[in-house]
Amino acid sequence: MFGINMNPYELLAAVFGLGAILTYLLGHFDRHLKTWLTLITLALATYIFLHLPNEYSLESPSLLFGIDKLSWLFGILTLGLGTIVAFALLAYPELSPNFYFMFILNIGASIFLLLSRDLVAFFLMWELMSWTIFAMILGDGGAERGRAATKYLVWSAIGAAFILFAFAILAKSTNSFEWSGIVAGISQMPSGWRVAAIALLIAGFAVKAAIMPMHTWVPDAYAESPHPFTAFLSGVLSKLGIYGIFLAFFVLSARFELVNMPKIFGTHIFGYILAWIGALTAFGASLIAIKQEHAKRLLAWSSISQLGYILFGFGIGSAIGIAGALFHAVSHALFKTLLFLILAGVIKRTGTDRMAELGGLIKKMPLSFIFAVVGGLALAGIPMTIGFPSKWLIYEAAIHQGFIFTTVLIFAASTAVFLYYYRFVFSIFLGELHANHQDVKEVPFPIWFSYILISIPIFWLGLFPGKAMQIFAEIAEQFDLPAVTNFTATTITTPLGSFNALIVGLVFFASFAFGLLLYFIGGRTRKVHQYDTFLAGEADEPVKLHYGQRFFYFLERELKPLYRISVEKIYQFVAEFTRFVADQVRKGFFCGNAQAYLYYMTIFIVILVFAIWRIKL
Amino acid sequence: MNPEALGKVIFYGSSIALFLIGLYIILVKRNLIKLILGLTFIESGVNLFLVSIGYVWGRTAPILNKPELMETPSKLAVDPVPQALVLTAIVIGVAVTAMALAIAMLIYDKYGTLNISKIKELKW
Amino acid sequence: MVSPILLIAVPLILAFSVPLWGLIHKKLEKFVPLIAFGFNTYLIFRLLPFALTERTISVVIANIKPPFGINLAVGPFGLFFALIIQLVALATAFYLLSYDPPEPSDKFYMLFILLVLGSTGMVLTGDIFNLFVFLEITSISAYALTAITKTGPAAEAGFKYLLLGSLGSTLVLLGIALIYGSLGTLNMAHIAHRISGMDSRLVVAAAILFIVGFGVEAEMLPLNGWVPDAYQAAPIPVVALLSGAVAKAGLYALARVLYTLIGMPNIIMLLLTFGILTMFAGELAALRQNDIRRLLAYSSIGQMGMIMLAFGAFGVNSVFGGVLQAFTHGITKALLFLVLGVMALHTGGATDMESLRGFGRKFPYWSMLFAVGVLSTLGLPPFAGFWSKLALIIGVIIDGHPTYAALALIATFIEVFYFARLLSVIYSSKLSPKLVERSIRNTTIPLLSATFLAAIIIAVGLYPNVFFDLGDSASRALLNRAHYIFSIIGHYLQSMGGV
Repeated sequence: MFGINMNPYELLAAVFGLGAILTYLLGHFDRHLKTWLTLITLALATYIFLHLPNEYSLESPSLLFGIDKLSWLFGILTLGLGTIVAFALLAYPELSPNFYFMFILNIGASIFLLLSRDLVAFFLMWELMSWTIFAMILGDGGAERGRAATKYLVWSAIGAAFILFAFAILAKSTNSFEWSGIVAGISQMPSGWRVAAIALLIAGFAVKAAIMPMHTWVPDAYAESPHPFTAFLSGVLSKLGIYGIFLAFFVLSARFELVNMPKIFGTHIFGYILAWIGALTAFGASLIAIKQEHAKRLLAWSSISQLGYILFGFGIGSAIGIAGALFHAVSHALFKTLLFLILAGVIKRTGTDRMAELGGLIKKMPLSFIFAVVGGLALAGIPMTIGFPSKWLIYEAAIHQGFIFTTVLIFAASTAVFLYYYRFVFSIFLGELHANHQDVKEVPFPIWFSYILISIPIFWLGLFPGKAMQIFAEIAEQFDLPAVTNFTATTITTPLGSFNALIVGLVFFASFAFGLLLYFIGGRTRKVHQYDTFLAGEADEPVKLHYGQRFFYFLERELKPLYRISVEKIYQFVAEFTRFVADQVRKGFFCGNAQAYLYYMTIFIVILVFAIWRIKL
Repeated sequence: MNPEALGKVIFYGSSIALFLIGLYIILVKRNLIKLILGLTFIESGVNLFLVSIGYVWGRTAPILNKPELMETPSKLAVDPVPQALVLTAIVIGVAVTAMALAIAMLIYDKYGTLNISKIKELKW
Repeated sequence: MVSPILLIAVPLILAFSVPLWGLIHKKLEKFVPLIAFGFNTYLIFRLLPFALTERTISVVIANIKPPFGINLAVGPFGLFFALIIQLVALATAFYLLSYDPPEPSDKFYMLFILLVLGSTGMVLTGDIFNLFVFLEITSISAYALTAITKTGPAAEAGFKYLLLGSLGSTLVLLGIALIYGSLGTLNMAHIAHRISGMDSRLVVAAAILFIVGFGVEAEMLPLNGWVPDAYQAAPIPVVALLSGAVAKAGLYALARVLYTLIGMPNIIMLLLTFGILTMFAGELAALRQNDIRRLLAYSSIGQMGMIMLAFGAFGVNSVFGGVLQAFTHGITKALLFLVLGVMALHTGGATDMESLRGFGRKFPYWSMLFAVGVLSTLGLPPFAGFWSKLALIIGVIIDGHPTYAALALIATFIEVFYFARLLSVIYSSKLSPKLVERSIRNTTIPLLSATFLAAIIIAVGLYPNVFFDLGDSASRALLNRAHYIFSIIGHYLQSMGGV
């Protein structure tokens, strides 16, 4: 290509690097040029990505790259959704060239993270991916954004530290920095270290995958990052954490001695714990999502909850569980990107994401409303969208495995999805239009076109899940994992029975259409405005009434004891304590009196004498 | 006790004494000038120690000004190396002391005090 | 091969000729450091291929072969540190071109050159007494330079530094006296060869004295009270050298003495504990610091603690990480301080966080340089700090001290916290009222010198091969004690009939 004798891997790196730099430099000249350059870069990168050879090794620093089905799947998600988000960015010419620079770098790092085949390359790309997110959250630097970005970076450093520590243990015990060498050597590792390494890896990746209790950065970071980028952050970048968990849990551990650990409900205890963490994350986060006042935070908690589903699927570890979790990773990536883009459009037009200040936008932004419903259907797992097969598989896996308590939690979480998503759609699009929003227009073309782009796979994979199942089966086969192999283009057969997604979808669509018909024929409605309030039959003095405010107050009241549990408080305590110690060290030790320092020196000599006295020479 | 051993005791003993006096001063006194004095005490103690290491009882200075010294210096003269070292160390010590006194003057100029516990503008 | 003696001789001559240049034209003075360090950098690069081998050569002075006489023992480990010192010195000397030196300016430049000269001498010498002399040259120039602005805080900081530093170097002298009294030699290779025959109590005493003495310069935990004060009060170019040259030379001396001279693993491993304590003290003290200069000073203590930890792990992998970290820390801190110096020009000299709020909005390029330094310190790619921190942590774990590596990682959380806060303040959308549109001085020259350092950081980050090779041979050279002894006094030992 281009007459240059370059390895496609190098070419891909060059495209990302040059694309980022060019976009940054030329982005200062024209408001739209930077987005077009980003799109060109991503298109080129996608082309090269689809034509990558299997392996590539860089001599020194010795890094190893390669592509397999798993990295292909996540890579396509990253590049595809990245391109769609970049397309939506056309409507945001006000974002600075710095942002575009970091965005391209971030996608590049994510792609090479997926392609990396040794620990050093993986960690390099992981860190690059992590701090570019920090730069984008920091963005134009409001006070809240600074705080959110700081919180994010500290959490990301904690995650990275876990990962680095685990990598070092693995490299030390297996004497290899390559994944293949580690997979080959891990069975000879002392089992304590092996479990520790895998647990650390999962904990480290859980930070990015927003699994409780490593999730506290998520609502802040999502709320403060640039609105279209939040879609990418939630849709794609959290999936890289899932990718990491997959590597740690299945590629490194599941096939080896860990299986010999005690089993609960047919799953080894490690997986059982993961399933519990996943279920609790799914349940807890959706409860918190219910009481959010800001739509962005609502979706952020919803993301945490959905990522909990994925971890739950991994924890079950059966053929259906793995397929369901991977499927849900794909489906969450798609519908959450869509939902965040819709929210970005709403914020662009109205300037707020506080649900109490919104309402009635259906009249002004009908397209956004329709796609919000589409996204909501997928989120709730309604047939004909991608959310149905993915959630269905996870439920089937849970039931088939006989996980009673966690299944209850998962179902409860699913109910909560209806509650908070109903609130989301209702308070933004339905009800009375807010006075300030009388002349709001539909979102601009790049944004609504990106809705359409994302909706295509949402429906297609929802009606024809076979194609996706094919890929998951290949991934499972590649890593010697149990796979669901019994499926056709529309039907998935599991030990619990089979379902045809197309037929279910069509039936559902028919009943939906019937309901709509009834609404149009027989519906008698009375339009009320927000000041139309009365009390005990008497017309009260007009008070603005909005359902968006404390929508589920009754639920909050009932669930009060649950809401009191907060890991955030523990972290705040740790932070406070660290600050206290820090002040003691700073003011007590570096006290400014030179003579005190002379005392330290004398005491230090005495300590040294005693220390050396004690140890054997 | 033979004179050689006695000499060693005196040399080492007084160097240790000098060192400890210096240490006492720098840990207890608060006046900058006294602290500097304490530092020079410690230095003198170390220098005396260094010289006494090279000293051999009954030998002469390693200056080759006599014919018998020129022939077998290693039998008649003391080890010259410590003396060279001490000369260097003394010069360095003088430089440090001068530096310290200059800074102490400056501090007195700016702060109006020589009490080290009051010179704490930079802290934390 | 060019003679490494020139590394010391040429700056020495130039240093004392500064007043003469001043006689010709006052402006010429400021070019002298640049000439001296430019020449030295050239020499170092000529010597670099040599640093990639594992050999240590002795450069004989006055034609008396070791173990007698004075010699330079130029090996990969020393050259690696000399390289750090020279790069920082070169960038700083260039920065000086647009810097208003405190009066008397000729003395300032003279001391400046002597400071670098002393630390270069410390890392190249093969004679323990020479090590002491160079230590004193370095530290006396450093005391003087710290106090040179003649303000109250400068004098105070200088005095604190002097008290600790001179006491420390006196202890070093005492240690040398103990060794000479027992072994009768000052040549480091010779001492190393013979030390097994020395009374072990005396060896331990000497080791303690050396740890305390060099620990002052290396910013070790209870001995580093002077660090934040000196960093806060000294002129900015001097601060860059304090972390880039003095601390590194002190660290070199510590490592050289403990590894080559003493060579007792148990004593070396004490550095693990001190390193961790130093690291936590530095990072914790920095956590709530609002003055950026002091913050960077505390962060420097933390980083030095991390390097000490690596040296304490006593293994090739961790020492490899340690020398790489020493390199990146030297370059990065110099960059941060030089940029901070220019930042202060825009706020009328204030360096606290509130005065610099929103600096990044007005001066994107300067803040980018600062961000490069910060990100590299945090060990993020694609900057040099990534590789060094990675090598350090993995090295410490591979050499069998996972607990210490875990503690070091915990300390870095604190580091991430305050550096992230610093970045978010600098890139804040709210502007500090103190910020002015244009600085009082032209900032082109500082810009070039900071860009030079940032370019090193990025280049090493993107293409770390040479860096790895240098660090590899440096760490091997440090650990291969027998080889060091043999290269310096092999011929002598053979002539004595027995190795």
